[in-house]
Amino acid sequence: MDSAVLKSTQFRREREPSWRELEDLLEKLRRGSPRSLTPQELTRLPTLYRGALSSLSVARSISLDQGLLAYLESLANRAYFQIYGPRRGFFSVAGAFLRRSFPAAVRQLGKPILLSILLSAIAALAGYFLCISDAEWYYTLMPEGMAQGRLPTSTAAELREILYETKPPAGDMLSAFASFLFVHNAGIGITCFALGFAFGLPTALLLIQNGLMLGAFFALYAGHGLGIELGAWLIIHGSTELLAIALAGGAGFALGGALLFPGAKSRLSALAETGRTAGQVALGCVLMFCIAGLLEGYARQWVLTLWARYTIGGLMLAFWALYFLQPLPPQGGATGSGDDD
Amino acid sequence: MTTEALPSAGTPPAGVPLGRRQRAIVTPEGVPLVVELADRGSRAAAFILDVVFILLILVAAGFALFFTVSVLKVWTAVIAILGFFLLRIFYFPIAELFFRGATPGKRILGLRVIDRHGGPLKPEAIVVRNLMREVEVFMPLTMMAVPSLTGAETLEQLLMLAWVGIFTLMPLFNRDGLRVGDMVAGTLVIAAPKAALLPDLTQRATRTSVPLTRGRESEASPYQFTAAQLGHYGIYELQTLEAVLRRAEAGSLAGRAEIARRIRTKIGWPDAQQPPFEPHRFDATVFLEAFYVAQRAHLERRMLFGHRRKDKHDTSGHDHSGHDKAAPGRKDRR
Repeated sequence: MDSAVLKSTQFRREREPSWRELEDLLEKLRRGSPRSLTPQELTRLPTLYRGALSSLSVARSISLDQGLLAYLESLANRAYFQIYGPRRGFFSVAGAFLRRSFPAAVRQLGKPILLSILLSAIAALAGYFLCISDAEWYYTLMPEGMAQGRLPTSTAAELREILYETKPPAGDMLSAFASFLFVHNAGIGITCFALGFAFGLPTALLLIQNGLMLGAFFALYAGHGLGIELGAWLIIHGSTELLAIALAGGAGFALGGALLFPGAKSRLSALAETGRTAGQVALGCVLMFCIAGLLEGYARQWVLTLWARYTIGGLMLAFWALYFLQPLPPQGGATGSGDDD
Repeated sequence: MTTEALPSAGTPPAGVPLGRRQRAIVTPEGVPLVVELADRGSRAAAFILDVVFILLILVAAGFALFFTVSVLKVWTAVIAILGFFLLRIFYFPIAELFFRGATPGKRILGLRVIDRHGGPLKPEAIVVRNLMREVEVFMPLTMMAVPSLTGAETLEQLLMLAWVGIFTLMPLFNRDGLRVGDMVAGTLVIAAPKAALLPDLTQRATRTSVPLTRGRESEASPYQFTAAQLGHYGIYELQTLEAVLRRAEAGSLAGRAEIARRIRTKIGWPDAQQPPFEPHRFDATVFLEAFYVAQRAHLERRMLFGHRRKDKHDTSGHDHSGHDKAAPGRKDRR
């Protein structure tokens, strides 16, 4: 029997140069950026990759050389990373996200977001009426740390003073204040989203707690005839912040929903599919919290008149409505963010 | 909670058995690729490395500001608050976006993030898997570090910690080592492969076993085996022999003579078979290499006819006579 030239040996001899070529390209890519390759090399890459894949398929069926199989497996793997790894510039990704993916993701999650808005609203109403009926409820609903001296026993003047702090802190303190607010709120937003993984229950609890506190707060101020002023104080950043919380809550509910009702898909693939959309909403919320932090940290300390606060808050609300409901640009090829498969 | 619904990442390639730590993904071209799951320990190490890098960046930024801008306490606070938050939110996704699925820590430990089903790794998946970290790691850490934040009693605190711990310890509860972020994003962390192309043993075998030649590799080897003699072993034994021959290259020749002796007994190699056998000149290596070539040629030929003989106990489609009679109806496993 002719043992010297096996089919697999012959096969290896024919294909080896192209494997080596691919290996060299991969090594170059690993060390540098895609720009370190010449245009010719870049166009060779997909061809060589497909060549390596087909070599792997053939080798699996004709060769028993383990060294060869392991090599091809690893070569195909490494080439696969290069071809299918993410490789877009930061600005292209960020631009596509702001222009299309974020509003698209929000619209896709319309139902869970509505649910989260509804839940917050009901909780706020409940908090309001509970505190109106019996001021004792305020102590139950409002953690001490959050109340910061704003209690049913405070006088109207004291409460009013908090709304129009007459001694705005120095400029640098403001930035620390704004960044603290941003970090705190964004943390809550992300938690709201991520805890959706526990079937959405903690998300619901967080939203309800938030709503109850809001309602209790309103009841406190309305009791002293300061409802309109509190509205102005809240809306200037609240139109952005509360919306962001609602969106993050909706994203959390979407996660929980995918786990609870995966439909025809397996739980894990339903989760992965929804998760990517929900994650985009959560990321967008971080940006919204950043804007809200700036509004709360700076604008609220500078703008003290009632109508100006309402105007800014209203404009922000209108802006977000326009942004989320705008007709979306069609899915771009190169710049568009991923597809909705 | 969801451990029963683990990803059947794809069908394994025909005839290639998957190891315990291996998974198959299917590339968009439809070719199954075998990937090696990342070890949980190296993943943890990579994460710790990344956190160290984040802290280094923070400290560096703090020093830079300290020396350039006039020293303002407030700015230190801003950096501490904002910097740590922004870095822990954006460091991971941006790094994974730029270094094709690996943060610097993962790069050092040779890990990589891929799409669990073999599709392209999308930016949104990267964002999601890293946002989830907030609940997996940073929330329990904050709860432990600043217990007063939650305003709960000690018992409640412990219960909450245990509950959150389920998120953190998720990678221990499933076979693929998926953390919550991987589940939500549909990703998988694997060990980046690195294998060199080893020489083809059949080539070297012809070289060494026909030392004085005449140069042409189609020259007959001094050892000739009959089909019956090659009918004893299967793929498993062949590849074990391959491993032995490759390992021996690195030095240890011990045991070769013993292996050669066992094979000779098994296949009934008469001591007097061609070429004239001289015990004192019998070189185990030459014999084993020649046997490897012949055995591989035999098994590969049978593979072309659709028979994959797994190991020596696999007698299906094969009678020990060694004839390549294609037994009808014997299509292969997997």
